[in-house]
Amino acid sequence: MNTTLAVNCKAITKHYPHFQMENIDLSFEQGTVMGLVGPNGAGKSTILRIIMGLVCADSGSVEVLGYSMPGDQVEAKRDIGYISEDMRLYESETISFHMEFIKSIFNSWDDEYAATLLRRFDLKKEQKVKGLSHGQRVKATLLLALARRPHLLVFDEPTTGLDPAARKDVLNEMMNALEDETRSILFSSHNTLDIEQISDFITFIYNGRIIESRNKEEFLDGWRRLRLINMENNPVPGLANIREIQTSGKLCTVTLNNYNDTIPEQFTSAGLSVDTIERLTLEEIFLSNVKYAREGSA
Amino acid sequence: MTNKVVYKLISNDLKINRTPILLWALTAVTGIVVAYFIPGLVAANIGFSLLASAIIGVGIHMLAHTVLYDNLKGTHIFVMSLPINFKQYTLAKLSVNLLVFYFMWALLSAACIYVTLSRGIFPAGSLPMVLMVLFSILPVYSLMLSISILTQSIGYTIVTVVTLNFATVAYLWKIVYLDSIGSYVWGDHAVWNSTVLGIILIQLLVTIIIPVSTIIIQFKKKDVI
Repeated sequence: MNTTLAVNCKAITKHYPHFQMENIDLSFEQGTVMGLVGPNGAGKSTILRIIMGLVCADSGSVEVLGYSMPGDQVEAKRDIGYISEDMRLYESETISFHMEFIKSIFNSWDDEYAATLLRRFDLKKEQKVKGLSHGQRVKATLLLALARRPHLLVFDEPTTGLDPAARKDVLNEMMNALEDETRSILFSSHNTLDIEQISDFITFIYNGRIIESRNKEEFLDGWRRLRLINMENNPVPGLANIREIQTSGKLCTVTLNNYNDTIPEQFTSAGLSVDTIERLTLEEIFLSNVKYAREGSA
Repeated sequence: MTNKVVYKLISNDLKINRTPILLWALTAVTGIVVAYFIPGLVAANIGFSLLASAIIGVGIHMLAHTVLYDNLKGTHIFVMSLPINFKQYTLAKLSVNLLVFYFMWALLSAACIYVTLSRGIFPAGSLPMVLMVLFSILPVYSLMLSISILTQSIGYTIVTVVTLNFATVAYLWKIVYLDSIGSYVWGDHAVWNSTVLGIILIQLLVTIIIPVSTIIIQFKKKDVI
């Protein structure tokens, strides 16, 4: 039992009739934020559901806060706050009803923090869930997850469909929840800006496989776009870390992973001159990764 | 802690559905009042029909709202994010539905027997038949509930309800035409022969076997969602 890891998944597989998840290894330490990025149907939600014990992996092992899942899910979920896009509260009931319900289950419920979150989210306890907007519903669900002060927050697409202001509120509260260094967040999103903003570690998933997973700084440092001028139509060196090549006349744009300072020299030696070297945004890295994975699996 | 969550879920479902439960209970009480205070067979039939409708109504309402609706809307995901496993979730859903339904059924049964005998609406010989009819409701509801929990499907549940409706009518016609039952219905004394006792016993066994089988099947499921 490794208690320093918030999540430790090893060699998880899950087979559905039209989707296979293969050999997923995912781990991160307590006190950190792990962001999962992937296109629709990549398997993000499946991984999070396996971690929560809602879905059972066909093989592999899952430990969450030192508990084996799904066997120890009752104990583990006392310390996990989970939100998913398809989760709904009791529509006919008020926020207050839900707060009392959660409070009656979790001794760790923090009344003061709950009241603060109500104010920050501009929610009223007496509001019925069916009368809330999508953004308010997400905030209410977030309030219920945060005010019980769990050590791990697992969020499946928490910001999907939110307007920019609501998104900012949700992300701010996610960050505030990390003030205590023992708390961790695992969350999935399509929005690479959200992931970039709050994650310490990032994992890219495509088609049921993890295609890249490392810390954010390494991610951003490791990728470059080189704009090359190829006056004599020399062949572009076949470096293993090239992810994408686009040519337009004499101009050649190369996107690379695992960039290091010797790479420009290798292009120069091959007769190409390096015009500019640019860093990539996380979104560009994501798109390049997906394109490369898609072409690789085609 | 875990039992506390199961208890909280049951109590939540009761709280959330308290208005419909009360309205159906009111319908049932109206049926009893009509059958008891208004003389004649027609009033008794209307009263018992109201009572039976209230039981069917509350049963279907509960399974639709606590099982099917929860699943359709995604409330079960919220519940399953709490410290509870699938077995306990299933147990909570079965318990709340059976609790409400059995309570209403017990009310119907007691009222039916009391009104029938005290007002002399039917002769004492009809008591075994009345009990067989009352007990036939239990396995029917158990099966409807089990299908809804196992499949989480509105479609399958509707097909089950319709099929059971036909099956129950056919079953009642069948038993009333059995000599060992039908020939004593209009008699002055209740006859508790082996046919009557056997049928009631089978009904009770099926009523118990169905929820137990449901729990066993649910416990083998690996994925909640």
